[in-house]
Amino acid sequence: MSIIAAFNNAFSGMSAGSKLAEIASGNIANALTEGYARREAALTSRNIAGNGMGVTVVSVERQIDEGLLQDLRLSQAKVSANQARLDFYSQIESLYGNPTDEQSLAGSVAGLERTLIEAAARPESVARLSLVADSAKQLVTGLNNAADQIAALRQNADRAIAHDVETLNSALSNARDLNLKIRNLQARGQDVSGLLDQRQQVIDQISLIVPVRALQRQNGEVALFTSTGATLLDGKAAVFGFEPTPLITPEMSMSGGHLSGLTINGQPLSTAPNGGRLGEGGLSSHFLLRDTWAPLAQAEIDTLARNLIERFANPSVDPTLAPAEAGLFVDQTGPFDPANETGLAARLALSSSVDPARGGQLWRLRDGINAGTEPGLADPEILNGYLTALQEKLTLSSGQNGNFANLIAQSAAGNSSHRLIAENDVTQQSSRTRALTSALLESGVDTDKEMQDLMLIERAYAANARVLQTIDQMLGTILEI
Amino acid sequence: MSSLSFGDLAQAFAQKSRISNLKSQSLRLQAELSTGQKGDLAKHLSGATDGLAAMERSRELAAGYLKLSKDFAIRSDIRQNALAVISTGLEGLGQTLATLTENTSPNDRERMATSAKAAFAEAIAALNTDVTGRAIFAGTRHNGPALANAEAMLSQLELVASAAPTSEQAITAIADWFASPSGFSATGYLGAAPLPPQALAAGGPSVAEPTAEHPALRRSLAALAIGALIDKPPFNSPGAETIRLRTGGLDAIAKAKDGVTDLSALIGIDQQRLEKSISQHQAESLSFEQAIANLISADPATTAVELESVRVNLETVYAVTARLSKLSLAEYLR
Repeated sequence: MSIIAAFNNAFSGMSAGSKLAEIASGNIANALTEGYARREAALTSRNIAGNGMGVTVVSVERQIDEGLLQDLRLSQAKVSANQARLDFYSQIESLYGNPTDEQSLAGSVAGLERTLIEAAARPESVARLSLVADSAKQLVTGLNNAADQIAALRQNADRAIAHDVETLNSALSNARDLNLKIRNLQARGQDVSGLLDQRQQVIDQISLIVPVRALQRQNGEVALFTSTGATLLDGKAAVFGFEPTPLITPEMSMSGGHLSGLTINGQPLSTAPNGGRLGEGGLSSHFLLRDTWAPLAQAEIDTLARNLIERFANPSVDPTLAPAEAGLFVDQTGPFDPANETGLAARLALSSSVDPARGGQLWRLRDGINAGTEPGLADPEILNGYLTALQEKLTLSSGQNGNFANLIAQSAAGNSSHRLIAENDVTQQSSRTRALTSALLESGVDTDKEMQDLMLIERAYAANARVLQTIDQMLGTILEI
Repeated sequence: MSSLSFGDLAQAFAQKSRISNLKSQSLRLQAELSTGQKGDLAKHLSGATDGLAAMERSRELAAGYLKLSKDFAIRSDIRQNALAVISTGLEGLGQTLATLTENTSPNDRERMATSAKAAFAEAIAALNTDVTGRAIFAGTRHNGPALANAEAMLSQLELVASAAPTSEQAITAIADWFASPSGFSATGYLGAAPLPPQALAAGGPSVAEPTAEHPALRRSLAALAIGALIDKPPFNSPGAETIRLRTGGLDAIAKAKDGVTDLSALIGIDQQRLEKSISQHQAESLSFEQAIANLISADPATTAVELESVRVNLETVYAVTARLSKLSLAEYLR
């Protein structure tokens, strides 16, 4: 009967209205939730056997631009990678020190040269000799510290890789579980928006570690791939493997077999070049740091340490030395071997024969490292020889040429350039990420719109309720006859 | 419902990033204003920090060479003073010897010898000067003394002179003693080898440090020694010997004075070099400091203006944020 149909129409209107109110209130409640996608309801008029039968809520959709989300994830992975590079080079820059700082490496060399000049003016002065020893120690300590810090950065990178792999594995298995739940609930026709939100957050977490692409599969499932093609999740979740190394020394390398690489489902996965099949992200940067950047920085200061030792290991500078014997600066683990350059900066030390703290004598700075007794003469020859040795223009294997202070300054400048380039890259990538984030957030919850919709819903609900009342009156009129 | 909406969080995100950007700019500018130096030197110099490092090094070295020059200048001045003492002594002895005749009484001779002995002792004391504990004329033997004491040397020379039959031969014998490696060099001069010439700047001029073994100083001591021994044999022989003693003595004094003048001139040249070096290095220090400041200083006026504009920006953003936060439908539906 038409009047019953009218009754049903009004009733469907009211239930649609209450569903819409539920959605609007849910949106407003989650206005500040990160990673929440605004829900919208799709309404359609019901049609049974050619007759209109009111309104129904077809589906509740999450309003999110998948393309934008994809771009944002890839951008975030790049930012992660570039930021790691910037942090590394900034750290190395601080190890070399600020060029105007007397305590910087270049400043320490200049200080040593100055104390040698002043000691040559009064070679008999114990005070001036002691200043020379202090300057030399400052230089040695600076190089030692730099080596220790680089080793620490490498160790941290190894630990960070282990942590990232753990996070990645657990995130992938979470994503797989969510996939299953979504499939099951969707099959039963239930609302899966909340689970979809959760899965989006898990994938966002993964995107900081590796650049990830998400592809929709059937039944609401999603498959995950890295931007360069490795499969992370496709029905089954990939399992990454990595063995952290408890102590990393400068000689250790992955190619030498001392350090662990990455495995995926038991197969080795290379992260070079440019992230290999893993893609450029936080994880690949940690590998780059551990296996490329840090060893290169280490090699640079090792070469400088070797150059320093060689300048002083010269019998024409110090006649008390045997040929090829280390002089003022030594390798503290044993006789100086030019072939054993790796890790030399950490092993660099001042010769104990001039260090009063280790049973040496300051006058040996003036009279020679192996001098037996103190002749007690104010002879500046060896001190002047040391100064000339530092000021001699030598060429390193890298092609750099100059006096020792120059060589250090050139290495520092080279490192600063790397840092500036990394900073540029980070700034560029960050501004892109900001723009994408902004665009994505624009499609989020707008409380003004929700309030407006609520006003309309309220009016529609009132109108439907009025219709119900009217029909009730009409039915009452009929029954009263 | 059609989707004409603009997410709340988008606006908040944009405001937040603008504010944090402005705040970090403000912090940077504040630091630059208070230290007077650019914050990020590598960025300011476009990565070429080795030029700055080289300038800092040059400034350090200039300071070192300045100190060295000052040390050497003090020593040179003292050397010049010692030579002046010796010159005066020789002058005095010359005047005294000129009055020596055959008729000079033994008492007068003794008086002349005593004053010459005093001059000899003064010369030795002058050559034994030390400055801050370092002997000036003893070469590398810094704790000196450069010369044995006057008494010891004179008693040796007395023996040497008395072994000669005539005054002329005695004068020659004394000169020989001062020149021989077994005489003066062995028992008179107690110092060590002279210091090598020291460069006053990298590749620059050098100054020398003569020791008491310098020939001019040896001749001076020999001449003064002759004067101190005129009352001893063979110088105290009467008659024609006295004339020959006077002639020989005045001759030795004249030669010694020439030598001392020449040495004094050389030391004078070194003193000039040192003065020039001192003022040069002082000027270099200043000019490097200036150059470094030019390179890295943050002009306070410019920085203050930038800081002010950032502050105004920040205030504007705050005002806009406050206004926009009230611009919500919920406010108007109350």
